[in-house]
Amino acid sequence: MAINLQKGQKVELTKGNAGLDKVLVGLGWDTNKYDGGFDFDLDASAFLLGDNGKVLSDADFVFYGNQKHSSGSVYSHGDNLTGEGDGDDEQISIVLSQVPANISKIAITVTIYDAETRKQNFGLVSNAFCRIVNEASNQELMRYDLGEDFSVETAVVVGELYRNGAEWKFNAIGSGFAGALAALGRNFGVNV
Amino acid sequence: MQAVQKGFRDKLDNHLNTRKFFPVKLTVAGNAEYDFCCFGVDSVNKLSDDRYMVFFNQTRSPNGEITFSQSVGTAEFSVNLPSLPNSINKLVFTVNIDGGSTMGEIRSLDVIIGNTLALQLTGKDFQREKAVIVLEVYKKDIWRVSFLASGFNGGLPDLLRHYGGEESESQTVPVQPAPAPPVPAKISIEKKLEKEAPKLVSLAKPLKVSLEKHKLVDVVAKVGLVMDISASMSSSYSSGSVQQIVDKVVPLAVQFDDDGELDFWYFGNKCKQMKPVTTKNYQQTTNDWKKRMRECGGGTNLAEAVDAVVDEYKHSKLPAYVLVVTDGATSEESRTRKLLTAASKQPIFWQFVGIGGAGYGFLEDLDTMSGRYVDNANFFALDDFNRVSPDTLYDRLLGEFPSWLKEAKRLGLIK
Repeated sequence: MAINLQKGQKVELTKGNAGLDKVLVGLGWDTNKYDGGFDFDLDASAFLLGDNGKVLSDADFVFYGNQKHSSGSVYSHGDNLTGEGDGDDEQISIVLSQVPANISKIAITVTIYDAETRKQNFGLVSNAFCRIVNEASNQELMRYDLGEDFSVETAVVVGELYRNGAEWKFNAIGSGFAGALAALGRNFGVNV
Repeated sequence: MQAVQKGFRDKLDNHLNTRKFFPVKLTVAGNAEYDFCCFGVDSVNKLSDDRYMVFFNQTRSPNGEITFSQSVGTAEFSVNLPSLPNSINKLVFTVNIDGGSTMGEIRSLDVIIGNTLALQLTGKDFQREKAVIVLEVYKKDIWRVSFLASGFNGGLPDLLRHYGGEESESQTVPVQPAPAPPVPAKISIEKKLEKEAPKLVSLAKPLKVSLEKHKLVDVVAKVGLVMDISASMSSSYSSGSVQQIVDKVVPLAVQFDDDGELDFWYFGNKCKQMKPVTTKNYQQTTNDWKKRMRECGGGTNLAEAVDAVVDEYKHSKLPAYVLVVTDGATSEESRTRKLLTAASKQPIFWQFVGIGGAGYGFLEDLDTMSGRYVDNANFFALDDFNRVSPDTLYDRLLGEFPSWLKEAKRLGLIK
């Protein structure tokens, strides 16, 4: 049974889940209940961060334009343009044993593509969730429903996987930003 | 007053006192006619109780929790959350356009809730939408507000479909090859329709086959049609599907009725008899549905309809075949039962058909309830009256009429 996380909750990821190495982060949302207006295109990204909370190089930003990290440890499963269908809308895989030693945390974010032109924000997105799955066994370990926490933000830091000694933990951050992916990138030290 | 953006979402208590009445005001400036509505929906987002659709035609929910007033381009709702039943989980405030215009063409849309939060949009915030969910007040642990301002290109029918339950994709029943019919005794229905209503002539053959099968060819009877005109039926009227029902019932009157007239009633909260439908005027039957809906009120009071129909036929020397089409959820159930039981001594057969709705338990009861002089009613449900083949439709409509005729004759209700 997966653990349900609350905003701000920090939980053990590898401790108690012996043998967990390949983690699938699944993200989903409902947007297209209404056929009027523009389609929604939400994008999941991962930022591989050093101790200072910044990327070490621009290549540590994994998104629709850079779908695989050079180490092979973090990769996106591709871009879903409309959010149609049940279950995960976008997925990111993380192979913990291959994450370079100088990376201390990996932030998972969701942004709305072209939000300004399309006049869209997270207040119009419902049932957003993030789930953490053991990819080898396909077992869902935890689930975080982002619920009603967002309003007019256009970018959300969903959570962070971070090192705690030899183990990895997960922090359900759930904080929103105004601004697009570029603003979020600058926040994490990417030159965009 | 705080100005908010489209998409703004928050706990309602942060902005107003949710234990007291508060106003929700919607104003549209533009060149079209704008209609406003508040849907009170349940936890699965469905309008399970028609009485919680509050708009020009039903300006008050049952306990006055939601009231509506309107002037040109402006609607003001007054809302009292604590007195809503628990089953109402969300109030959805909508605006829709009747006609060719779209929300993209409006000059402005102003939304004010509780005199504290205000959203202003213009046509640039929309595209081709004809129905927009402007605002939702919903319960998730506590009452919250969301300025959605998102909608549908299809207008009111889309909106009603969204809150009215899934439209099931019922398969059309395969048409069975008809057995060669023997020669009928009366002037053939085909000839009558060919002459008087050529558009309906394709219905003649399926009807004839069904008449033969049920041994009804020589029967002479009054035919009445009673149409539900409650608020939830709006999309069936605006899409023309009620008119199509009328089209299919006209041949029954041509066949059975001595003067070929179909007696016709609408019922909402009230029941109103219209002028009879004939082969000459049938194509205009539902043209004035909006006006009629306003006159009848938005509810579904079947008792009123039964009462009116009994009044018309109680002294009839001919048997009467009455078709009642409704989407269910009627009020005054026990009065309906009593009236229908009393009517079992009248020369009236009632065929109830449930369309496009759910919760037909009560109508099923009417079919099977005991205590009647003769079983005078039958019920069946069709997801879509107009999607079944005419063969199947007439077979079902006429299925129980013969056994009632036989029994009513035996008991002396009719000659």
